Parts: sequence; C-alpha cells; structure tokens
Amino acid sequence: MKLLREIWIIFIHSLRVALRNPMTIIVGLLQPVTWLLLFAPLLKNLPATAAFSPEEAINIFTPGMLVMLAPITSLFSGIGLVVELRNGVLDRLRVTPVSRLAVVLGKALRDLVVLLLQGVLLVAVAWTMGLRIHLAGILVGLGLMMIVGLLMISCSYAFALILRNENAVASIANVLLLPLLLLSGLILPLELAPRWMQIAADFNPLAYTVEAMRALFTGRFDDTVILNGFLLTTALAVFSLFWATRSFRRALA
Amino acid sequence: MPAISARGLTRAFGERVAVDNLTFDIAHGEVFGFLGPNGAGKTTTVRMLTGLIAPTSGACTVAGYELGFDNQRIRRAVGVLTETPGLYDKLSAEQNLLFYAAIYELDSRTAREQVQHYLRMMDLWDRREHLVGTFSKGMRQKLAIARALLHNPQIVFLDEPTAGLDPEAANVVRDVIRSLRGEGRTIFLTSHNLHEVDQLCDRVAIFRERLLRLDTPANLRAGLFDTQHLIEFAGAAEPWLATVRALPFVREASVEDRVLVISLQEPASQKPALIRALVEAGAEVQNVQDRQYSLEEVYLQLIRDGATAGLKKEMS
Repeated sequence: MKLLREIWIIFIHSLRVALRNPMTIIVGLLQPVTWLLLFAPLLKNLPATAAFSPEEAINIFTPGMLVMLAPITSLFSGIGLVVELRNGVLDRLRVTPVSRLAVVLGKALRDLVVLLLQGVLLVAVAWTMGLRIHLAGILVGLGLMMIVGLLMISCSYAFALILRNENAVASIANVLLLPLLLLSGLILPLELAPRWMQIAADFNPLAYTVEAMRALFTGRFDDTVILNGFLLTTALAVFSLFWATRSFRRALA
Repeated sequence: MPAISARGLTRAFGERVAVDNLTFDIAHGEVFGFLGPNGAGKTTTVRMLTGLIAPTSGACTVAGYELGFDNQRIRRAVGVLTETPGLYDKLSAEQNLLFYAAIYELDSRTAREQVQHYLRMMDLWDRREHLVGTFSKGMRQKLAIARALLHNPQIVFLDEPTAGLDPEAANVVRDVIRSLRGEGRTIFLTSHNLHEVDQLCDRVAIFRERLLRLDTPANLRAGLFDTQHLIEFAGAAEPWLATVRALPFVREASVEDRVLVISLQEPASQKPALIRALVEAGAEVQNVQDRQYSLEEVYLQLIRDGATAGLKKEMS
C-alpha cells in the first residue's frame, strides 16, 4: 500500500512537471500521426503478396506502428533522467525514505501515459484511413504496447543511470532501434524476409510482440502467439524494471 | 546514545581512500562543524552518514539506527541540504515543498502549515507562487534549506548552507541554524566559511581524508598555538625587549609593528608579574591583550600539518 502511494505521488508530480513543458508532449503526439499520414498512402499501391492484400495493408501496418511507437518514444526517456541526475534532483530524492522502485515506476508511468496517448491517437487516425479491426483486440493491444513501453523505458533509465550522459543514451537508443525495428516485422511481415533475417528475428523480443499484436487486432484470441508475446514482454519488462531500480540505487553511490 | 556515532568509518573508491578510519560521536543538540579542503572527503562522509553510499568498512549509528541496516529510518530521521539544491525549476516554491511533504507522509493540513512556517522563516513566503526557475541562487538555497527542515528532522545535515548567499541571506540562514540549535536539533555543518563555523559550532572536526583534529574552537586554538600577549606602549616597544627577555619566565619575546609580543611559560599566572616588571622598569603600558587566533589560522595550520604528515606517510 505504501509503495502504491509513493508511486502515485511520484507519478502525479512527474506528470505535473512534464505538463509545464507541453511542447515536448505535443511534438511527441504528432510524431506517430505524421508517420501514419506519410506512410499509409504508400501501402495502398503495394502489389498484392501472399502475406496480405493492399486493402489489408493498413490492418497489418497499424499494429506494427503501435509496437514501433514504444521503442521509438521510450528508448529516449532516460535523457530526462540524466538531466535530473546532473541537477541534483535524483540525489535529493535518494536522501528521502521514498522507495527506489516507486521513483523508477512513478517516472515510468508518466512516460507510459504519454505513450498511451500517442497509441490512442495513432489508432484513431488509422481508423479514419480505413483501419477495421477488433475493438477488444485494440484495447488489449494497447495494454501490450504499454508493457513494451515499460520494458524500453526501464532499459533507457538503466542506460541513463549507468552512463550519466545524454549523448551516450541517445547513441545507444539509436544503435538499438534499427535492428529492433527491422527484425521485428513491424513495418512489413517477416514472411517476406530472407531466411537469415527470420532466424535473426527469432532473437528479437519485439518480433513476438508484433505477432501477438497482429493476432489481437484481427481478433484471433486463441492464437498462442498472443500468450507468448505477453509472457515474454512482461518477463523482460519486470527484469528491466529491477535493473533500472538497481541502477538507481547505485547511480549516486 | 549520541545523535551520530561513527567508528572506523572508511570509504575507498578503488585504490583511492576517500575517508579513512573516521571515528567520532556527536551529542544530541550539538552543532558540529566539519571542515576540510575541497576533495577532502566531506561530501563522501555526509553521503555515508545519510545512507546514500555504504562504507567500505566501519560502523555508524545515526539517530540510534544502524547504518546499512536501518537506512530507511535514518533517512526519515534526518534532513539534508545537498551540495546542489535539486529543485524543480518549472514548479513554484510551494509546489516544490508540498511534493516533499507528501513524500515524508505529512498530512495535507500539516504539510501546508509546515510549508508556510518554513517559507516565512526563510523570507520566501511572498514568493511562494513564483516558479523556482526565476529564483536567485540565494533564494534557491534558502528554499532547499526549508525543504530539509520540512519534516522536523532531529538531525540536519547542511552542506555549505551559506555558499553563494549575499550577507543578508547568509544572516537569515545563520539565524535559522541558531534557532534549530535552540530547539535541540543536532546539526552537522560543512562549510568553508570559517568565521561562520567559529560562531555557530560547539565542536569542529578538521578533516582531510582522516580526522586531523576534533575539539571546541577555543581548545583547537589553545592546543595549536601558544597564548601570546601583545603589549602596546606610549612610545616605541624596542627599548623594553631586553627587559622582558631578562625575566626568567618569558619564553619568547619579539616586536611586531611597534607591539611587544611575548610568550610566557605559564600565561595565566605569570601575566601580572610581566606587567608589574615592565611598569616597575618605567614603561608606560597603554594596552595589554591576548592574541586572538582565528579559526582560519588554526584550520590552515592543521591542514598544512596534515598534508606534511600524509606526504611523510606516502614516502615511508
């Protein structure tokens, strides 16, 4: 109970601080919409493949975009933490009795709220462009996106607390992003990829999340890829959360 | 039980020993000055005492709680002014404090009362709704001190509380420290303002990786420097130098800036005899006083001695 209360205090406080700088949030919200507006028209003219028809393209592309949103938005979350580390804010929090887990989770929740808003906006815009998918699937899919977000935010926090440098966090995020995205099949299905890429994708957790997300969007709730995607992503998110918390304990030691 | 009790507290970062075998007790209600040059290990010591970093070896209790086992309770019992204020620039002074009040689990009414009390104490009440980003360095420092006191901690760590403050603001902070002392709170004060430490502290530790000396400011002076008597005459001082040197109980005598400077074997008992001897010899003594050594002179002497001892230790 005490932990939940502390998480809530840190979350509300972090949100209040973030809202004092609304431009960051507004730009963050516009980013996925821009992708969709610029990318979706290209899909309409794709030749039909074994994997999907041009009419289905938006249904294939939107779940991928949702998964893509999480690392692109969240892997850079640690940059703000480096700033707080440098100006003494984290140091000051650490001399209070507040739980370290509450600090990490409270701040992560703030970033997750922004991610959720981006996701909802993305689905809404995709809907106007012809997206026709299962409503329950969307809701559960947004939940899955949040878990991916937590995984990426926690990793980014851990990088920030270990490296203590904004540029280093941004560099790591950029280096990780490309293989994570290309080997997940989120832009186009991996069925189209050569064999070696498919093998490499087996080691990419996002590939399982994308599969689960697509199953959810098409209402295939009995497909085991959904359970696999949730279990793997949740396990990794919990692990990375503890990694970030441990890094927070040690960051100023 | 002392408010803080450290026994052989040591912290090494790899090969480098930042704090070596630190042992001291601080009584409840004591204002304890902790002095040392930059990089001496003062901040590392404060970080250990507040449970931020673990000592490499040694033991310590703070507010009766054992460091390393009861760190949560220690953090609840202490208030800390950290090296950098760590305030939220985009929030108001009041919002900054209310956030910390919530963290310390103060109920809403108590939180508002405490925030008002300390903002008034720090002359910041009229600026309570202003964003901290618009505050001067001094105002930020005062707000950070208010935050350290918000939950009424029994032990307060103040790291350079008046650094960068204008004289008026520094005076407000010094008054606050006196008032905290009056309330019986224990204060661990690090500062480079030696005059301030001299004014405020009951005892002072001079520290450079290890404890060089720990005593009251008066005892530090007495232990390090001989008492010297300064005697001024109506005329020149030089003619009386031979007279005082002939006295069997005079250890040293010299003239500095027309003033006779004398060290006696037993200053307390022999000073009247010295003056009597000079008057009987025909001297027109205008003024007699004891030389007052500043804490700064004591500090510099000890740091120099400590550096020399450290050099010898490294060379042996």
